[in-house]
Amino acid sequence: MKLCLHISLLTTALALGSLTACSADPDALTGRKNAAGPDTPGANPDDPNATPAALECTVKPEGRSYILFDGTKLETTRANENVGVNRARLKPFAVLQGEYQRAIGLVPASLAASAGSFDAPPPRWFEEAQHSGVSLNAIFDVSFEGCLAYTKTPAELATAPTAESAATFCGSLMRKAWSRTASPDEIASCTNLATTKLAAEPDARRRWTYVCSSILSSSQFLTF
Amino acid sequence: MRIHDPKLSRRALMKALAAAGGAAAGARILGPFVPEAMAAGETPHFVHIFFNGGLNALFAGCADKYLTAGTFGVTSTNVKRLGTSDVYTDATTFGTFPQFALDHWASIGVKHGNALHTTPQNLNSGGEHAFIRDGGNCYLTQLAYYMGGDSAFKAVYFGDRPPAYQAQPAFQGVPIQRIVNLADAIKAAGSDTPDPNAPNRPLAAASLETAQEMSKRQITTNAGRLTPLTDAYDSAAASLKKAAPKPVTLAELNTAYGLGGKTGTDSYASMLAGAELMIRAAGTNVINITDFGLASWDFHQTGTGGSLNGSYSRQKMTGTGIFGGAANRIAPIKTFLERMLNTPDRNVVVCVSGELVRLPSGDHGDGTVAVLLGKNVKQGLSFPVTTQSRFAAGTPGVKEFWAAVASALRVPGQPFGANPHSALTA
Repeated sequence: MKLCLHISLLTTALALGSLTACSADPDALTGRKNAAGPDTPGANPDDPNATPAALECTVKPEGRSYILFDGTKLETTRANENVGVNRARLKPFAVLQGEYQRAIGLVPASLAASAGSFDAPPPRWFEEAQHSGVSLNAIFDVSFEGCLAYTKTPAELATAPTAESAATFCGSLMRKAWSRTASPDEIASCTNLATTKLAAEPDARRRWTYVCSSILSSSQFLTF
Repeated sequence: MRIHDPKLSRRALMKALAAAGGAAAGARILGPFVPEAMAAGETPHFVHIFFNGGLNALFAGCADKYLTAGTFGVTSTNVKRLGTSDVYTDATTFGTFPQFALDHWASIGVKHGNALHTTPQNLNSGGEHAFIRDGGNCYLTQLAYYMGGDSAFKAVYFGDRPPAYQAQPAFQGVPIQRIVNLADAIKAAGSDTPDPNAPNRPLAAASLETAQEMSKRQITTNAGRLTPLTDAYDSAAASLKKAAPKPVTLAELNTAYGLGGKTGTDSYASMLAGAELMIRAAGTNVINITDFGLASWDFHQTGTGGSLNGSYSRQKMTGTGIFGGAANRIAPIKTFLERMLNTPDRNVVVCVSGELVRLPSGDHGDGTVAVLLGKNVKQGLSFPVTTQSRFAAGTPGVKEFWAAVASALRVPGQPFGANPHSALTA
């Protein structure tokens, strides 16, 4: 009996050891420092400038190799993907009300009637939310309505965006909506929208509304 | 390793050319890279009405095969012969389709060789998988690509799950996307009544393109679930850039299909209404409508007269008998056919099928008989089943069926190879 217990404990310990095989870092399950070494630029998925390299496992996993009946190795089809990355998931409709409230301080009135616009799974079925072009357009419309109210009164939004004011507005709203600091490239895209692509919009507040809606239609706002 | 693979897609190519050559770049200047299928003629549209877990061949044109033995409750009084052809169908259900549909009806045998169900537990096998998938590709997105045109929503599906129970791959930049709400679809296509407070469509397009630009890094580093967002952004922005089509109103569809004022696509009639909407408002080329539920046309029950599949199917189609609380499936199909099958300037081809014929024992066979309806479809029967619902040796397979569909749609070339059913798809 004791021998069995010892063997069982040993097996469990070995199994737990193999879970961290992608990295010897004891913090691996926290999602920190588990992607690549700190010397690899852009390889940390938490870095706003991360590259696809952040997905890759850079430390050879430890563990046994299993030969299958057809002679191939079981581990050959295992995804080369690190722990804690590639984990973004689309927010379900149920949380959007709180998310709009958090980001812009109000909930667009049309959101309440928009449940049918989102890819909610049917009863007794599990399927992660996914967006189509139609549902993204619906999100933009709902966001636009909310952003119209959000940009209605602030004095600084009464004038058309400049490079400076747009960068400030974009950086601030992105930080709030995305729960992280935007990268310089992301702010540049947003600023370009505000100052150039929307130049045809004569109403300054509506121009800010488009910028706000664009941020709230980005994947960073739509995902956890 | 699951990293976004930046393949040269049609849209990527369009964007590159647009950037290089100016905003005037359109589908037609892309030469051989983009099929120009129906640019000068009737716009092609393919609607697949799919009865998952069925469809009994008695409905699909082979009813006479079951007459002698009375299989599936078939009698001389409940079948209908179409003209002078060899096509016999059930009189009270498919036999009530509009005359134009009955006159342009081809029954096509498809032996895919897999008598199992595709289910969430059997995703890579089964009849539905065999009928929809072409190796790593999906016939629906392939067909939409080869049909050409410039719809922002080239392929869409209705129902409570994707075709064959899993997200289907895009082909050459053409994805298949789910439509869950008719009001949203009308707005996205720009066919609704203009609202002065609504965003300006070109500016909304620019804003969504910027949202995509800002999302690029996150999508790339979270390819697992976010890759389809790229197609969604592309479609939404492309649709917003298009000139608004002729109005399609919810009121019109509500009246025609009896939707009771609802805009969700959670009823059978709403899916058919959605098909009409997507064709008229968005110019969608390929539409898949799969009935709700898991293998919901899989009736194995038997009684004293043998398999009850025929009577159960009839009752479910008409919302009668033990399916008295269910929606009538035939009525909205008829409405769609009456309104769309012979539309001028459009070549609408409709396929009504399941993936598994039913055997006299009540079990399922290893193929299906598909009903193909359309302007360029001739009345007739090609490779029918036997009295035992078996396919003859040499019955063509799935690719040949899609070759027939492509032919009826007048898709140039033979993207799916030779069409062995060519006598019926002139």
